[in-house]
Amino acid sequence: MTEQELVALAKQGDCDAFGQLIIQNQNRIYSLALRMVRHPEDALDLSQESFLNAWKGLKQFKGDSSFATWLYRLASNACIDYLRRQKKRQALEQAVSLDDDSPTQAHIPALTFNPQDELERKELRQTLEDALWHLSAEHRQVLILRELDGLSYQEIGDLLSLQVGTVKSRIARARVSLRNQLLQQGNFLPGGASISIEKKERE
Amino acid sequence: MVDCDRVLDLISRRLDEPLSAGEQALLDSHLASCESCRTLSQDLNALSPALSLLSEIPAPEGFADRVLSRIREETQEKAVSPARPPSRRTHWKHWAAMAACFVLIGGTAYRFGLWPTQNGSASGTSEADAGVGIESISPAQFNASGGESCVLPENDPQVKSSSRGANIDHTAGNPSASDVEGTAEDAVQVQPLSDYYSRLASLLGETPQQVYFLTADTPLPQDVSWQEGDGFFYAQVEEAQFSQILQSFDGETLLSSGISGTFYIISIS
Repeated sequence: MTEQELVALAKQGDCDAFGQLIIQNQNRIYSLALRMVRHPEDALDLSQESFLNAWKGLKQFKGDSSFATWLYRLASNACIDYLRRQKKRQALEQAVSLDDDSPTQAHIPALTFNPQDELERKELRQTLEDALWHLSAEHRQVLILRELDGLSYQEIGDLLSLQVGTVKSRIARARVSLRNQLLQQGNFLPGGASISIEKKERE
Repeated sequence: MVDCDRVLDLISRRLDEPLSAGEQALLDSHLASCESCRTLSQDLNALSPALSLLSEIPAPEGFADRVLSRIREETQEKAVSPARPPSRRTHWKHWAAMAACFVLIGGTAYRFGLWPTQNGSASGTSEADAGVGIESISPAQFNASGGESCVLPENDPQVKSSSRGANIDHTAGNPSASDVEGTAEDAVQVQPLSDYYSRLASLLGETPQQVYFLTADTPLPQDVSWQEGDGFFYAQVEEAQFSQILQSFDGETLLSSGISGTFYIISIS
């Protein structure tokens, strides 16, 4: 059954059809929530609430976007709201500029990622997750949407109600933030590839 | 010379979509002369594929079931008391036009009398009034829950009701079954209450517009002056006070107690 058909049935109150929609989307929504808030229980609550809200708001869903996109928007906004409410993030939005003192200066060699085995990939994944977490919620959000979910600029703009130009610019700055974060975290490179990142003390 | 901020957008965008020939030339030219941006470009080129290592995180087991059970819970709650809050508020507005209300204590929750509708006429068993609020116990439930206890006259041709609504029309003091007659199948007798109603009406010398029968297990409001009627107690309360009384108990609890077989109308006397 297509998503559209399931949505039509769910709109008539068919819980089983909605159950199918949950199963189709639950990992994506949960991943988003967990990456956004990082606390498994809160992520679970937020994802469940997102589905409940979707169920309650089904009548308002006109089908302008796919159900998955609409749901993703609900969840994404819920996560941002949550983070704002909780004020769990303190160092938001580092001004990213190539003119400042960030570690983008010329003497730092380029990053390379050459994980050679599963253990190294695991470490790298953890490193990336940590670095993502240290970004502002807005930067993390667009990187998840672009890099992990593969949404286009236009889709992200629709999702977050942003101009495409803003999306492009935010993604660019988010990437630089992530890169700077990785550099600040020190020499994480598994496999000893041809890189020597300036190692910084981590408290 | 293009500034580095502008180049950052190109460096990033190149990871997502092809640049135009002009943009590419601009970028290449800048990177050739700016080591900082060249390094940045290499870093971001490496970063994107690395991020693809981050896969979806599976939702905990039973996720869908948990959401569905919450949905079903909420759906059931709605089914038991469809649209209660707005409905009750609406009724209150209508009710505000009433001068007084009479409350009989000792029966199950059962409204008796007029509910003005939007256009001001008696609501009877209108669709809008069916199944809402504490007054919504259907006569079928009402009867099944304890009709056998009734000792009041068996045949009161004046008053019948369908199982869909609980209203009985006593327009202008002239009890009539004409607009509340249910089908043969679902018509149930509510004579006991109508009898109380009649007795109250004759006691008062006029036809009360709103009469409520409360369950015996509903805490009785103490701050009203009770009077003894013909086999029952009654009190006349004004709007504000009646509002407080109704707010003092949960309509849903009341409804449930009626359904579960608590029916004490006989204990009135």
